[in-house]
Amino acid sequence: MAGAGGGSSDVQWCFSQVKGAIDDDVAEADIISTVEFNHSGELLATGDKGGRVVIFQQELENKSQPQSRGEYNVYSTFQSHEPEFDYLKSLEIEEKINKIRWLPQKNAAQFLLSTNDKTIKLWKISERDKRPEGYNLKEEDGRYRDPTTVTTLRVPVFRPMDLMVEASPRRVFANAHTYHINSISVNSDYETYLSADDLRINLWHLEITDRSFNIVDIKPANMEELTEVITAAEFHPNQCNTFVYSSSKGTIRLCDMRASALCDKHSKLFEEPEDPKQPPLPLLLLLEIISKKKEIIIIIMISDVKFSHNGRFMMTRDYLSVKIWDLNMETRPVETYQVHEYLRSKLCSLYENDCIFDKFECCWNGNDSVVMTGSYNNFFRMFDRAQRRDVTLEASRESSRPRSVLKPRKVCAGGKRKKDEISVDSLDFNKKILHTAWHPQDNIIAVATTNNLYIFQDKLN
Amino acid sequence: SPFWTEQRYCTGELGAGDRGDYIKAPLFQTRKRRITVLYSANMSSENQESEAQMESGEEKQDSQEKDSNPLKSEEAKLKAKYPKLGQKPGGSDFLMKRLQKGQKYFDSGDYNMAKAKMKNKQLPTAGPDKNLVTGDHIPTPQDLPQRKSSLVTSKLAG
Repeated sequence: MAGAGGGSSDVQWCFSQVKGAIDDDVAEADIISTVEFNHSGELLATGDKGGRVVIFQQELENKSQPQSRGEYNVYSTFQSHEPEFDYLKSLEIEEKINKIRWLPQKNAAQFLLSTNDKTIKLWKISERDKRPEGYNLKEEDGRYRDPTTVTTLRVPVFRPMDLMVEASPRRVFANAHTYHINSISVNSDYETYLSADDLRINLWHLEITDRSFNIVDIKPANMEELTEVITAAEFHPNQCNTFVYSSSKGTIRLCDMRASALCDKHSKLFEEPEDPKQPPLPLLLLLEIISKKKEIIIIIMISDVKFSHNGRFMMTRDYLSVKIWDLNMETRPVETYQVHEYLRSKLCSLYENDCIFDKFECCWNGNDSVVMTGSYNNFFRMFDRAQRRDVTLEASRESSRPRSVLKPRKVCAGGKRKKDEISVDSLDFNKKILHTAWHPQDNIIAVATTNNLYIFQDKLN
Repeated sequence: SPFWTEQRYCTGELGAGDRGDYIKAPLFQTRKRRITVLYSANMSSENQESEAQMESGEEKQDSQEKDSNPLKSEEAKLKAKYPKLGQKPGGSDFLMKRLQKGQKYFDSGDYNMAKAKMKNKQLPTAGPDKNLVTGDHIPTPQDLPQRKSSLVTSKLAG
């Protein structure tokens, strides 16, 4: 693959574009909640807390600027979901877009699935660059002509017009989830997709909206016995019968739909044993007071799970680290990368300010050689698997001059702070990068800060 | 007597002295929990000691940044004190909160209490904080914060 993700050491990342308002006063609706490239990388979709979707399209490469790839400009924007109130259950349903997933392109139009907490919608984005003119019974402005005034007939013809991009909802998949949807994933059969909430996973057919199959149900008969919830789920990239789901207890279950209709019994269970010498997983003690009783919960939540493009590995993101698992080995991950180890001793304060509940996502590059995830202070991290090197970069307006190379950042955990380093206590925990996406072929990445979308490219010579 | 003081943060069963059949929960459910131990009358004196120890343990944790397993030792300490931990009946509060996200309750108890308190015909209306729908003022449908979809185009598209 030409230009596909090289190592993080030889790639120099440059600022390309930033989208969004500059002002610090961020409206809640403008908070970006999901970012996703389509299968070709030509389109980049974002969803926000206000239920809106904005799609950017990459311009064709400019011959006069061989140093950079095409820019991403606004292609379409629409309101995907609206706030709702379920009066029967007294439940307020947020319009926040939790996930967007593109369907592979089959014809001229583009299709994507977008979901909020309760409802999944299939949107068709189509272009219109011609319009029919010369109707017999209609004027050009649309008014109907009196048929008795028609004396001659003509054949309407299509004439070119300014490009118009229209988004229309083609399917609404509703009322299938009692709990809050956290993931959707399109199957490699391109006919079905799954949606996962806290306790259940449903399988849908893209054409059928009034029914779905329940394939995983971990709701206990007695809710008092509830010990874990589903945090993320994804279909295997080329085995249409296989999917995985991660839990709040730090385990990942791989299920095979050929084994049974209800996949409550997993085919594989990926769980790392606790290391008595040094806990590899982040442990947090919560002391809860319920009347006169006490409880300790240990939270090792996995916030995201992603298969590699080749389908041989999967990556999980928990609060402090990124782990790569070989699908053939359930006992432990094959690689573990610390994202911000300096936060391990700060977990109690991160609990106090609710940061411990931040759901970071992670992504692979096109050839699965590098993985990326976000952190605080608008930092994001890349880990080169082959070269065993990592880098910390920052998405900020200060380093936003066109084609300026991003300087690696370093956090000082303690002791003497070197020049250009930033100390842990100076980190801004309100500036978090939860959503990142990598172009499927090229070294182009989209990084979402709270309300801005940054696009970085590797430096072409 | 204060009717519903600390119970506001408890989701345990309502005892005999409570308002019985009113289901009550705060309108906004914060995920915050106090890490320090609350003293309860039914606790044995042994637990009183553990409270003091717990707090000093936290202080130690803050000062010893170089401790490689600050949380492991804290966990071990607590497990030694309370060997029956982890087997609490009643389910995990944290998980229940996550599942109930978005739930809004109208408190008929508040409504009737405030109504009964009023001698005058004038009923209190919502103050400047429209989000506070429980308490002394009587909520009306007009007071509930209106959720409208954003009619403004996203700034990303600007």
